[in-house]
Amino acid sequence: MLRRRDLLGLGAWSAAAGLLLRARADEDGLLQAVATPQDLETPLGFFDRLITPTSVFFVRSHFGPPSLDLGRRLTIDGMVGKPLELGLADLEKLPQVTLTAVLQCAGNGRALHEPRVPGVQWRHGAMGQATWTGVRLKDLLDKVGVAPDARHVRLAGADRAPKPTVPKYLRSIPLARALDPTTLVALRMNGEPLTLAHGAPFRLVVPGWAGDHWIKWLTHLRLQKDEAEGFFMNTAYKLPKTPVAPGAAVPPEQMQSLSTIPIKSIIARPADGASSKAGAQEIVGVAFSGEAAIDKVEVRVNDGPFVAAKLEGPSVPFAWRVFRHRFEAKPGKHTAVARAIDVKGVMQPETAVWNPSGYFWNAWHRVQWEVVA
Amino acid sequence: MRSACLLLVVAMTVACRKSESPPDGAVQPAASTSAVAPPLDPALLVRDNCTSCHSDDLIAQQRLTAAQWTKVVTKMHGWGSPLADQRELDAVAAWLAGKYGPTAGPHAMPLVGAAAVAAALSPQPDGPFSSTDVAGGKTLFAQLCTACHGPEAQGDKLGVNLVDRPLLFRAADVARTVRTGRGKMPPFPALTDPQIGAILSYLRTLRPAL
Repeated sequence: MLRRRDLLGLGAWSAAAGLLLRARADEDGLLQAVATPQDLETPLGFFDRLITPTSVFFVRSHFGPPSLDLGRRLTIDGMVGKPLELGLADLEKLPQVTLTAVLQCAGNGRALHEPRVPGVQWRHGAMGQATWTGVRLKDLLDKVGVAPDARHVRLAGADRAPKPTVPKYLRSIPLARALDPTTLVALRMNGEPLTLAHGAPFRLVVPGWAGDHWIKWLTHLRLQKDEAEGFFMNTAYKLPKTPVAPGAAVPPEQMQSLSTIPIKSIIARPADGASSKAGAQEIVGVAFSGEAAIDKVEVRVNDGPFVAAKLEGPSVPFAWRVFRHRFEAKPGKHTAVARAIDVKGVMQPETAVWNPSGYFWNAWHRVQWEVVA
Repeated sequence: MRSACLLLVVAMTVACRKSESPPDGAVQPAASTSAVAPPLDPALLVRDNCTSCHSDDLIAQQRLTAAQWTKVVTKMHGWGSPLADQRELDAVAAWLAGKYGPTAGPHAMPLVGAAAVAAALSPQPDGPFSSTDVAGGKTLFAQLCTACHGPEAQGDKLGVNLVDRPLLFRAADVARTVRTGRGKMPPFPALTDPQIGAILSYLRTLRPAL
């Protein structure tokens, strides 16, 4: 019998290299926040389109990936009638669903909060939109038979901390979110098998929720009564229950776990500090709002009024839409600011709500550029 | 085989001793003031106690107050950074606060090509490191590596986890680190290609607990 480890050693090189090196030489790269473990931002200029190419899609993990192992198994156990273990081939045989959703790190924009807080100092690029294809988690949970008093699904991946003294990266989602038909065990991203950096062979997809729930290299789902244990559930990824003054210390009992990503828009072009030629100008960017669809994006140029930008892409939950606003400009300094409004009428706030871990920066994005003759 | 191992142990011992001497540029202890502890080199402490788990860019991008740095360094020490004592913690926190405080200049992220990003994780052919000597690798690992990396290679006080990592399929990179050392890790210059290959073949058989 060929062991899964042998696959790499015995000539699956081309397949493995294909998964890892699906990068095009003619594309730009990523902004390297951290070399080891890799934390990489998508450059702003790519936020002018509906789908972010996989090769420039942001990368985040706490400890770096495990080895590439397409033989990895997914175990579902705990408060279930019949535990289940599946491999890639088993998952591929089940009905596949494809959806388009934004993936955003909870800490995206941390470097823009004042006062500054520790953590990866993301600016704008820890987000992207892709199509995700895989099996509904609900279909898998139906197979195992969830016990009536189970309330949470504990999520674990194959990545390990560098030392046993570092807490394991564990999260959980409430059972209701796990049973939502949009929660997937994804095998593919943008139509291709997941790359190692993005969770190969399979990862969780929780549309509308921050990236900390989208567990990569998924190996273990456990049905249980309580939330997952440990630092990454009990201490990290928490927001104050009510807004606090910037810089305030917040006692643990005043904090709650974060989940859905708040409404946000980002201007891809013109880049802040750039210059452009006099005449036709275009403000372009993306807008999204957790579990609600985007209804409108308004752009203000200089001291003018907010005007509705033209939108591309369907107004559907979980997905971002591209906005464009065109106008003529004479030479001189120009500023633009964008704000999004979702179908529930929620408007992006002018300033972001500071919080002790620097999550969910979503203030109006302002850019200034020089128009030259 | 036994004599080769003996040589390696000797080499390791020499290397460990060598690593104890102060590196170039370190502040030398003051002469004959035995009551005063020798000054510490915070930059070296950061290199040796932080960057085996994460690269130093994660540190350099922070803009934190002295109180925040103290909290971060204390948290990292609790998570396994092998800083020896409170004096070392204090020295590192103070140095980081001076260098990466709230008023330090902007931190720029380098743009890295998409192909280079992918290549950093990709497996490489084993070439001269190709080995099926799992048993020999296990013996070598037990003799040379477990003191720091733990008996099951899951990481310990000094060494990091070596189970189920992409680097196990990047033998040339591993060989470079093993032979030149890294931070507190001493160099093992006498290890041959087949010996490094054997250690890797053993490590590849290990799986993390669920």
